[in-house]
Amino acid sequence: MIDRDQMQAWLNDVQGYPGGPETADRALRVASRTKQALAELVPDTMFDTEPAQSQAVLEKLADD
Amino acid sequence: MTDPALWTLTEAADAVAKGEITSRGLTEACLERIYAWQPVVNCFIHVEADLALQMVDAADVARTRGEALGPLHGVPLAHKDMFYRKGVLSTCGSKIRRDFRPEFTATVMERMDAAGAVYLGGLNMSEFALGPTGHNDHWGHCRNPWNPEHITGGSSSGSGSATAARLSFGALGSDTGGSVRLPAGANGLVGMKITSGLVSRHGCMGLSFTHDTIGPLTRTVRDNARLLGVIAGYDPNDATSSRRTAPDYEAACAGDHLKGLRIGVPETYFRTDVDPEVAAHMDESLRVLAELGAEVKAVAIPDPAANIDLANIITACEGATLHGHWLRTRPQDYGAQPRARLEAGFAISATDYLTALQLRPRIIREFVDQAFAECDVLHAPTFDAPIPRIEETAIGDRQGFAAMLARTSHCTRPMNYLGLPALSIPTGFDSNGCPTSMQLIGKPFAEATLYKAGAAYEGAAPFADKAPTLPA
Repeated sequence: MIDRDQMQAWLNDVQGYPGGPETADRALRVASRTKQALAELVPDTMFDTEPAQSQAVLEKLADD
Repeated sequence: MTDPALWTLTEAADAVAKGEITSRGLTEACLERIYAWQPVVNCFIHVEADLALQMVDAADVARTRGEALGPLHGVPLAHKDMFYRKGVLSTCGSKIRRDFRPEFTATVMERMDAAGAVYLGGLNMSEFALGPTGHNDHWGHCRNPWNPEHITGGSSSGSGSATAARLSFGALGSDTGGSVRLPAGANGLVGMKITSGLVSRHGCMGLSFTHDTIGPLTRTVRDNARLLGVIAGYDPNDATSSRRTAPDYEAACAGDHLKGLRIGVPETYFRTDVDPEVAAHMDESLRVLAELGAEVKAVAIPDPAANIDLANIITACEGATLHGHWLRTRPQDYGAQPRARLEAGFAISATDYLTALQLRPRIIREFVDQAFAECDVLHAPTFDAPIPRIEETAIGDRQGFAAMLARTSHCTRPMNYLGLPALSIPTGFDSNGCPTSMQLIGKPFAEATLYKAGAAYEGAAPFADKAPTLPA
């Protein structure tokens, strides 16, 4: 995981967002939590899946 | 004659249709209450009295001419200030859109107009619909009419406060993580979070393309069913809207028993850390539902906690995308908490965001298959603790704000990632005089089933006829 300075540089230079060290600290926590959540949930491969299936699944489950 | 503003929405609509009261009489009664209550609860951002009175005159002329009347003919309604009306102020609860007047009208507003409703004005809301408490740094915090020291819930804060105080016969709100159900629960109202896709979002301020839904807050289940019946259905302007034909929701409210309905009480998550006073109300509501003939049983559900992390990833990225330009160029014009929540999206990679979206269909299928294997409806609290005071939740972006937000929307947020319908219904009052409430959660597009259960419960344990009183 990147450190606070790298995150601040990412936010400022890449995202163009004027955040300071406090913002970078919060962003690091968000990024860390994101990685942790996905590590627990993502299967070996996400091949053959796509987001738009959500609406199709809702429609199909309603009729089951 | 009782104050007509105290009638339910359907009573008011029926009275106008029968000529027992004019739309002007009904609207003036609401305006009188608005001017009395607004200094106490701050639930309106702008009152459109002139526009409303123009609309009522047209409505009254139409009735006397014997023209066909819509299901909301002449009924005055105010809505969360984020549903666009061409040329009319729509602040989105923000400083940035303080003077914004859209160039087109939202589909839900067009459908309200076609049904004959009168527009009273724009209601207070959390800034850009970000916040489950009802705090607003720009327009002032909205207050709970049952106890103004307490929060209204958010983000549809004014929709909850105004409908409970009898200033509007109902209101539309938006629900991205609980924003219809939380203010419904905190204000003793009925609030429907719809199945994703049931109602068009064209012309409604966006926060999260994936999670945003539009739904009604009302005093009774039947009122709610009538409003949903008006706004539900396919809209060619919203590619995500369902082509499914909406059933007659109001007809579903007719029964007085629940024989054959299986109600599942999740063994985990919703009741693991519930306040004892709220738990007692939940148990009592289950007793009433069983007495009505429902079969009540414990059920196992997949842990919704993981959904919350995924929902946060998606909402943060989509929110940061929508707000990107303003966040970069005028960050100082956001309140501290909305800004802190939105900027989080800049720290999440595109591949992680898309992975959270890709997981969604599989998780929806697994949840529905397991949770509804042995029941038709799930039962859960809306808030799992008594409604907090405004002061104790006014922490801006200080340490602990994320945990406070997560705690407030603990019981509502999972259903947005899952896309499922959930109806919040009052279950009584706590020791602070604030309402308690339950959620009935259904399978996709099972709103009519939720209305049936809710209406039967409401008939057996009525709270809708109790109104808050204006503090001296």
